[in-house]
Amino acid sequence: MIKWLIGLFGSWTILWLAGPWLLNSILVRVENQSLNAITFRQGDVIRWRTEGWATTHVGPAGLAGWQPNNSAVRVLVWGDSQVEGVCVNDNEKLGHQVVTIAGQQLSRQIDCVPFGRSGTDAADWADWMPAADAKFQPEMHFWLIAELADLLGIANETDHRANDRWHQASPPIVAAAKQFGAEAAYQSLRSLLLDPSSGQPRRIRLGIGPVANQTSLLRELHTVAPERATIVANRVAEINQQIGGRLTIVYACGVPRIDSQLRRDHPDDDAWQSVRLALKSHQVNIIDMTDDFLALWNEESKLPRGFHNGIPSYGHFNADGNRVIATAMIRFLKARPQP
Amino acid sequence: MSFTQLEYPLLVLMVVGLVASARSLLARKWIVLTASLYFYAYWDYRFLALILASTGVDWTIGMALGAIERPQLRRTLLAVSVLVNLGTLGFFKYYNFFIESATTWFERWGWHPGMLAIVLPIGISFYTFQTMSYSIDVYRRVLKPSRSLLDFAIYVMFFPQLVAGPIVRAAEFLPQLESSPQVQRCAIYDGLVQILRGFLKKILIADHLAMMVDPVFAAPQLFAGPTVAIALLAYAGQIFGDFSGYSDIAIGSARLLGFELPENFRHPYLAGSLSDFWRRWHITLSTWLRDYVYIPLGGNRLGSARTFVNLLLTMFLGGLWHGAAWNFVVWGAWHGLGLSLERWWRRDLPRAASGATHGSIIGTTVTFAFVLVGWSLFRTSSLEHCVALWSSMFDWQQGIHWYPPYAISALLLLVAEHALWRSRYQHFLDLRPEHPLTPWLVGFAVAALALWSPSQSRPFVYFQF
Repeated sequence: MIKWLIGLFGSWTILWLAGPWLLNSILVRVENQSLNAITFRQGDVIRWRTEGWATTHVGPAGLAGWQPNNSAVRVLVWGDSQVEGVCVNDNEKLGHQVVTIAGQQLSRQIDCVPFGRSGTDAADWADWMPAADAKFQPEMHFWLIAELADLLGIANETDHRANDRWHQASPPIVAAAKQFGAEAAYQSLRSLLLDPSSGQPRRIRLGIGPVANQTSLLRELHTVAPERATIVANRVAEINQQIGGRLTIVYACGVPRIDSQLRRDHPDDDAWQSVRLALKSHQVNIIDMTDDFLALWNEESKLPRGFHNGIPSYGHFNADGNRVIATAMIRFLKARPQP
Repeated sequence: MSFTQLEYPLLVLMVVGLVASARSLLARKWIVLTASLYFYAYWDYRFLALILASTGVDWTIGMALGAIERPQLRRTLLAVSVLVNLGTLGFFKYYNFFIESATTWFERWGWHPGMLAIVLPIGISFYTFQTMSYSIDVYRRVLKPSRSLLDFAIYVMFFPQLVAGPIVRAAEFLPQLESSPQVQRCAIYDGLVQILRGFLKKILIADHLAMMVDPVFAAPQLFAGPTVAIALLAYAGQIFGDFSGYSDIAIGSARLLGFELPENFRHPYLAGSLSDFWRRWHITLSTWLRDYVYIPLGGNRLGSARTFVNLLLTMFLGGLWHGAAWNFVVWGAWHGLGLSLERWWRRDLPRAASGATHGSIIGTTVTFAFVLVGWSLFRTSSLEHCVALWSSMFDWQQGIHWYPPYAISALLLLVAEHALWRSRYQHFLDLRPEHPLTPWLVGFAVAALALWSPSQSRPFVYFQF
C-alpha cells in the first residue's frame, strides 16, 4: 500500500513540477470595479499549452496582453477568445499587431485595448461597452465577429444568455489552486467534471436510445430569417447611435477552410449577406475580412486560423490571421477622416 | 453506449457491484444479461428485436442439431442458420451497396430498384459471426449445443464484446458460464490494468492521431509530402490504438466479471511476414475466416493455384466484412494477393532466394510497408482519392507542412511501446502489481489520461463495421 501511495504521489509530483512546460495554467477571474466587468487578474501569467503554445501576461484592467500607451489614440476591440488571443504570445496578439502596424502606417500612435473574453458574444459586449467607453474614450469600437453566431447573439434577451461565466468572479478555491500551482489536480478535476468540448458540466444519459440527431439544428444555425437579420441590425444600429457612430463590425469568418478541398465559401455566407445588407442600411461600418483571408492563402500560402495542435484553417486566429485583421483595421482607420 | 462515455464505467461499476453481491449463479447471469440488453438498447432499443431474434433462431437450431441425427436434415438446419445470419447481415449491411454497384446492370434490364434508408444495427457483423460459428460448430459436432437459452443469450449479447468483438467462439465462452459471472479479487487488478491500457491506446494515442489523420486524409492534395507520409503512419497507429484499445477495454471489463475473452492483437506491426501479421491483427476475425471460410474452401490442400484462389477469396470476404464499400474490398484483395505472393515466395522459390525470414528487420519492414499501402486503400474513399494521397506524398515542395506535436508524440509513444515489447524490458508493460515501478507508471498513465485527453472524443473506428 505504501509503495502505491509513494508511486502515485511521486508521479503526480513530477507532473506538478513539469506543469509550467506542459500544462495550461488556471484562469482566475476577478471583479473589475472601474469597468463594471469580470476580467482576468492583473499581473497573472497565463500559459496556454494546447492548441497553440503561448504565454500571456495580463495587463492593466485585467486585459490579456495589453500594454497601455497613455499618449496614443485608443481603439477598443471586442470579441471572444479570438481577441483574448491566449493561443499566441503577446507580440502576436491582435491588439499588439494593430499597435505595431499603426506605428508603421499611420502618422499617429494607436493604442489598441483588447476586450476579449472567451465564450462571450455581442450581447455581452454591448453590456460592458458603456463603462469601457467612459473609461477609455476610444476613437473607435471594433467588434471582431469570428463566427456569425457571435453577432446574432445581440438579438437574444440578455437574461437568456447561455454563458454567464463572465458574470461571476472565480471562486476562492480557483485562486488558491493557482497560488499553490495545483494545475495538474485542477485540470484533472475539470476534465472529469466538465465536457471538454463545451466547458459545460458533463451530463449523464441513462435512458435508452435512439437519441435525436442534431443535423436540423446545425442547418438552423447557418440560416438567418430576414426578420432576425433586421432585429440584429436594428440593435447594432441602436448601439452605434448611442456611441456616436463609432462602432465597426469586423467580420472575420472561417475562410478559407479545409473540407475535402480548400473551400473559399462558408456555410454562414448567405446568412451573413442578409445581416450585412441590413447593417448597411443603417450605415454601420463593416470590414469584411473574406477577401483578405483568401489573399493570405493565394499570395503567401498561409491560413489565418489554426495551430500545430489544432486543425489548419479551424480554431483560433494565428499570428498571420491577427496580422491580416490588424492590417485591415489600420487600413480602415487610415481611410476615414480623423476626428 | 461507447466505452469512452462516462456512463460506461458507471455501468461496469454497477454490474460488478451487483454481481459481487448476488449469491446465486442464476441471479448473476440475469444481472449480466439485463445489463447487456440495456447496453444495446442504449444505442437504439429497436435493434433489440433483431439480436433477440438472431439469438432465438440460432439457439433453437443448435438444440435441433444436437437432437437430430439425419445428415440431410442437419444440413438443412445449418443452411437455415447460415441463411438467416447472412441474410440479416446482407440486408442491413450490403443491400444498398449491392444495388448501387449493380445499377448499370439492372437498368440495362429496365429495372430500377431504389435504395433503402437502412440504419446499420450496431455490432451486427460481430454477433452474426458469433452465432453462425456456434451453429457450424454444433453441426460439426465439435461443440455440444447450449441447453440454456439464458447462457446462449449471454454468449451472444455479453456487453463488453457485443459491439466490436473480440469475436468469441461458443466453445471458449459457454464453459465459463459454469462458474461465471463472478467477481474474483485476484482478477480485479488485472481487469482494471487492461482497461487502463485500453483507454491509453484509445484516448491518448488513437484520438490524438485522429486529429492529424482526419484533416490530411480529407484533403491530401493540400498538404506537403512529409505531412501526408506521417499522416499515413499516424493512421496505421490510429486504427491499431483504436481497435486494440477497444479490445483491451472489452477484455478487461469481462475479466472484472470473471470471463476470459481471447486476445485480439499481438503487436501486429512487429510481424515478420504478412501471414504473421494476420496471426497478430484482429486475431479473432482472422481465425474465424481461417476456420469457417479458408479451410472449408480447401485451404492449401488442393494445390498452389487453388490455394491462391482460396486466399484471395477469403481475404476478399474479410475486406467485405469490414464494410459495404469498394475500398474495403480492394483492401481485402490486396492482402489476399500479398498472402498468395508470400506463399509462392516461400514455397516455390528456393529457400536461399526467399530472403526475409519471420522476425527479421527486412521481413518486418517489408510487411509493414505492405500493410501501410493496404491502410491507404482502406482509409481512402475512392481510387482517385488514394492516388491523390500517394501523389501528395511524393510532392515535398508544395502544400501545408503540418506536424502537430500531440500526434507526433502519440506516434513516438506507440513506437516506444513496440520497441519495449520486443526488448528484454517487456515486463514493464505487464504492470505486475509487485513490480516497484508499477505504481509510478499507473500514476503517470492516469494523470496523462486526465490531463491530455483530446477535447473531442471520437467514436471507435470499428463501430462502423
